[in-house]
Amino acid sequence: MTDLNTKLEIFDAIAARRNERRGFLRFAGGSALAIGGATLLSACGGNDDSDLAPVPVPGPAPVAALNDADVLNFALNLEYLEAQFYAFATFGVGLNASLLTGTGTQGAVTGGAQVPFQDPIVREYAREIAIDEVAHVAFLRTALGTAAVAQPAIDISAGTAAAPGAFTLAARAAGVVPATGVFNPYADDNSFLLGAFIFEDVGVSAYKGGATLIANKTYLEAAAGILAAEAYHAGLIRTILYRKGLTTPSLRTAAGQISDARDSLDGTVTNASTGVIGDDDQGITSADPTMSNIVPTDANGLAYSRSVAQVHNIVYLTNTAKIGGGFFPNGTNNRTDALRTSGANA
Amino acid sequence: MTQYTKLSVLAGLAVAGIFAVPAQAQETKQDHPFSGVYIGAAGGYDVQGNDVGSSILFDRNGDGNFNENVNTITGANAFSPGFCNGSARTAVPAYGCRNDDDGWSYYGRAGADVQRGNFVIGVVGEFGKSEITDSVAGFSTTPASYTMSRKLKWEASARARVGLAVNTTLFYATGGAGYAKIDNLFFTTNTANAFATSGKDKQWGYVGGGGIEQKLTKHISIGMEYTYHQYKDNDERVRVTAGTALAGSPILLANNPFLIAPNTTGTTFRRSDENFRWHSLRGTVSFRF
Repeated sequence: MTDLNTKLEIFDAIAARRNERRGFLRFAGGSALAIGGATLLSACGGNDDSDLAPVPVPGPAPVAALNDADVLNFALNLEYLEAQFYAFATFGVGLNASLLTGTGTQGAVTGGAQVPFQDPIVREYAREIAIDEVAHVAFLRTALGTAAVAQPAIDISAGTAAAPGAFTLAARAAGVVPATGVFNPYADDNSFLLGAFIFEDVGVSAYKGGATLIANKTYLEAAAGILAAEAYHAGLIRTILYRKGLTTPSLRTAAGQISDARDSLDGTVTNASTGVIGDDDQGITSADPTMSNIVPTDANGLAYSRSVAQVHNIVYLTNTAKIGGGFFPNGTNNRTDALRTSGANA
Repeated sequence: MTQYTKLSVLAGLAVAGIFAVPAQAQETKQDHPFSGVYIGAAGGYDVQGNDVGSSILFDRNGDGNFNENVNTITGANAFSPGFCNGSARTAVPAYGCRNDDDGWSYYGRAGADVQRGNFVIGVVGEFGKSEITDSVAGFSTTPASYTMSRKLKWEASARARVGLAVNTTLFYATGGAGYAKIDNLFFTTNTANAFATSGKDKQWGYVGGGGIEQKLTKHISIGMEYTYHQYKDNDERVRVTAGTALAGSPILLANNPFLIAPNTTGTTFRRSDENFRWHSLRGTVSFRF
């Protein structure tokens, strides 16, 4: 977990940058995943009378190329997080134990509670999304089969002022609650919607960013299907937040603050001194606050992408390169550390 | 010590032995010093030429013809890093390959010669072994390496010998059929697929060469012999299928270059180099009855 000092520094940086971004164009950014290119075979070595059986020799470790299973496992980590959040919020229980096993270290869920929904529309949306997210977990696990990663340790708790959970840390970082406040996404309809808002746009950008990494068209189509479902979910959440913002303006403000926080974490803030627009996240109102912005897109009307590292920045709630923190206290379960590490965006 | 240096030393020793003979020559004066039955031993060093350009060939569509590339799901050549005519050191192409193993050889032999005037004709049977291995390796973009090897376990040959005797020195040519046990070996760093090797391990070939034999006493002779050995070894196959790690994962199966269309049951390897060839330079010692 990130220590308190580090978090405070991050929060300060986020607060400083929050006012910097207003643009809607994404600064060109590349995937943080470098796939090792194959080099042409050099000449066979000189005379060497060593035995035939392969003998380990010192040298560079093989650069494991990213494969489709890696990409889907990366997605599975996010689906575990989303499914647990929505399952607890809607049904009061987490995923069945049979959906949590796999390679890597299996972790437990910290937090999670049923939301006392007041608005039947919010409750129905939550139920529908929960069912979809659990189905995503089941689908990805089936496709990955024995290659599926186990659920990593997940923190979806509010925690306390003294021992804040991931949601509270995220809300503090965004300025949704004061630096000593507590944000409980299970407290009521509006809190649930803001909690959901933290995840949904990340899922959309993660799937879009991962599209270029999936080689098999069958699974690319499946990932496109999940991306579309996540986009529908995000649209639902953003729409109802905007609608409720008519009577509770703080919801729109909070959505904008969460969006700014995500920009700060993933390193795509607008540079105030140069004017370079790097924003790849948007709140639910336009620059003119009287206009809606339900669909966050660039100038071409395209949804945004995030790299694997950028997604980890957000779910770890850090703008530094590290493994673990935030919603995944011990990091995500992926084949290599490179696939578990957030970007250095500080 | 390079293979050439080793051969030079052996040749030097043999020549020294031959020219050391004259002091004893009077003891071996006979009408037909090379007639009769003999037994002997031979030992020396075997070397292989570099099989430049050799590679592994693939049958992807199962038609028995090894003329396809192994491609990734995106259509890229999975073996684009290339091949080498040796055994792979690691999974990383940049670390290259070991050269084929040359090695010592040691044989027992028995034969019989008939001398008519200066002409000698005879037969010799030989059995022994050599420590040589011939490999070829391929590298995939996984990254992984795949090494196919043939290793000589033993060799038997029956050869004719035709020579010209000058006093107690015999210059001869020899040639005949060989029969050898050649083990087919396969090594890979790929842990996802399963690999099964097949193919005969006993092969027919031929042996040919020439040498010099010098009688030291009435019963003892020494010599130096060069032979070339070639065996047809074209039936080794490596069948690549889904390993345990793949069998339980639909997406890994669907993306594995050895298991995607046009043949989802697997891929077969064979070597492009169909012959096992080596050169042998040996010293010999015989007891003539």
